[in-house]
Amino acid sequence: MNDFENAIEISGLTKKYDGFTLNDVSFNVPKGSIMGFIGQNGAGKTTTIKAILNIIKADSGTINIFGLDNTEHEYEIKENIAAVFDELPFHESLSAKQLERILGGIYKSWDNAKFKEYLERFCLPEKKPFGKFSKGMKMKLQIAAALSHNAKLLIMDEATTGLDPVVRDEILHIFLEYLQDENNSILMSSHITSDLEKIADSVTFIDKGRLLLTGYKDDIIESHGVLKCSRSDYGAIDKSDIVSASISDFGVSVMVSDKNACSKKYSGLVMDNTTLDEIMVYYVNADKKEWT
Amino acid sequence: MKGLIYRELYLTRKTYISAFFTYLLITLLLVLINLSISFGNLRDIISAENGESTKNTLFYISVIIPSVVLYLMSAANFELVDKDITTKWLTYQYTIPVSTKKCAFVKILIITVSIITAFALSMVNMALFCALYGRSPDRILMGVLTFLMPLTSLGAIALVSLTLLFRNSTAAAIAIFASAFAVAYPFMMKLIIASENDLDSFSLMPYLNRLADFTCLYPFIAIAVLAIGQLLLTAALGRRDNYRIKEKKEAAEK
Repeated sequence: MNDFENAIEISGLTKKYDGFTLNDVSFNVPKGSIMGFIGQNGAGKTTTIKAILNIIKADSGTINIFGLDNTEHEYEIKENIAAVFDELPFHESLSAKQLERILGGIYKSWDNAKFKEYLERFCLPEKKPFGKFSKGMKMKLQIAAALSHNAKLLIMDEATTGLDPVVRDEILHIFLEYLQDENNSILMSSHITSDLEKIADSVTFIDKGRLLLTGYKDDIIESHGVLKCSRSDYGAIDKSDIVSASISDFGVSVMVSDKNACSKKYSGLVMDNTTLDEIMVYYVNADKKEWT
Repeated sequence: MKGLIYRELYLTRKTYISAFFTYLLITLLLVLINLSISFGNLRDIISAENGESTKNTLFYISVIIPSVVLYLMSAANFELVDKDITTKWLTYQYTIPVSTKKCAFVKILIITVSIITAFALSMVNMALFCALYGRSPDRILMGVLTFLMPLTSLGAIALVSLTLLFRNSTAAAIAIFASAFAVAYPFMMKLIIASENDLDSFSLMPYLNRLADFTCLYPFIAIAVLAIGQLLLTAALGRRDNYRIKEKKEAAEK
């Protein structure tokens, strides 16, 4: 199972619901990397993750995990996957000690020593019921459980949402440690782009069920830029260069997808660097082209 | 799968332990009442005229009531299903390397073990009261206690499946009680009319005798109900095991 190039390969994934369609989504998560999966609430991130985990049946498209079809080799794949959700999926009356026994009986490669090590590291009590845990403790517990069966792929669905910056930072640090093993990979869905900006190798933007952008994070950030100009200058910019433009009383900010070419083409205008957050906002408004 | 069994036991043990202690408490209370009727204060309130019939009724109640409490515990884990839904355990369960069939089997296994335990303890209870009354186990009691096996299997399966289907245990419980009432209503009406027509000669014995005629069939009916329950629960747990594989195979064959 180590002989694969991409931890996840998604091609043409389509899933139709009443009022929502995940439309022809394709992207890869390279082995040994962390991919940020970005989009607004309701963009289709959870639907995609559920399809990856074979919780929902896709209408069309293929999903390969570790080079294997995710439905044909479901249980073999799931032995090597860990999923972390925004809420603790374990009953509040259970304790870490009991969870150790439960998960130890589910995963063949469950490592009790590793789980205990994580509990100690996160200062999580073994016998206290989860109902008495704080949100940060619950998330740490999920991560401890996820990392204790030697999973090669960690899938996180909005897992850092609602956590304070200190806990988030601690968790991000753990992920970087986890990625020291080059066979391990992470797909992390979030709308907190600052976290992903810190640790992601690649990012995929999704909006209203459509894939907007996918690629290496640094390439995406470096290739995009924001042109600051007046309304009259804005009229002179080639429409094909524009992702979308934010128009205010003070001027126009134009997101362009080829910063270097546009810097030369519009040398009289100021070109600012951009962030994942800005890229997301401009791409979400790409249909409108102009927004205030 | 072993892990799922641990999980069910951790989460239901309190209910089972409290059901067991309720059983012990009721049994103890009934033993005390029976002792008082035979040797204590209650002896005076039973008239010579209806003494035998009162003792007989008390004997049946003493054996059946604690057993019913025990059987009810087999349906205890339907509440757990409700919690599985609210805590998102069901979603998490789809991410673990265990098939829906096995997840359903664990629930069926727990129901089966609790029904067998209930049956065994009800036999102990019957032996206790038979010894207390100096009677031998009668076929009617055996019939009633064995009949509770398929009945509670059906109730437990229906509760768990409907809770999964409705995503709500209260709605499931209402649906079950409504169905049970609809099924029992004609029989209850028949009994009421029969008792009104001729109260003096009315007796439940013919019905109980008929129930006892099929005693040896009830364990098999319970097994059949649990087997159907396995299929129902697998479907209700809602994962499309091998669905896409089937579809792909069919497409490839075409």
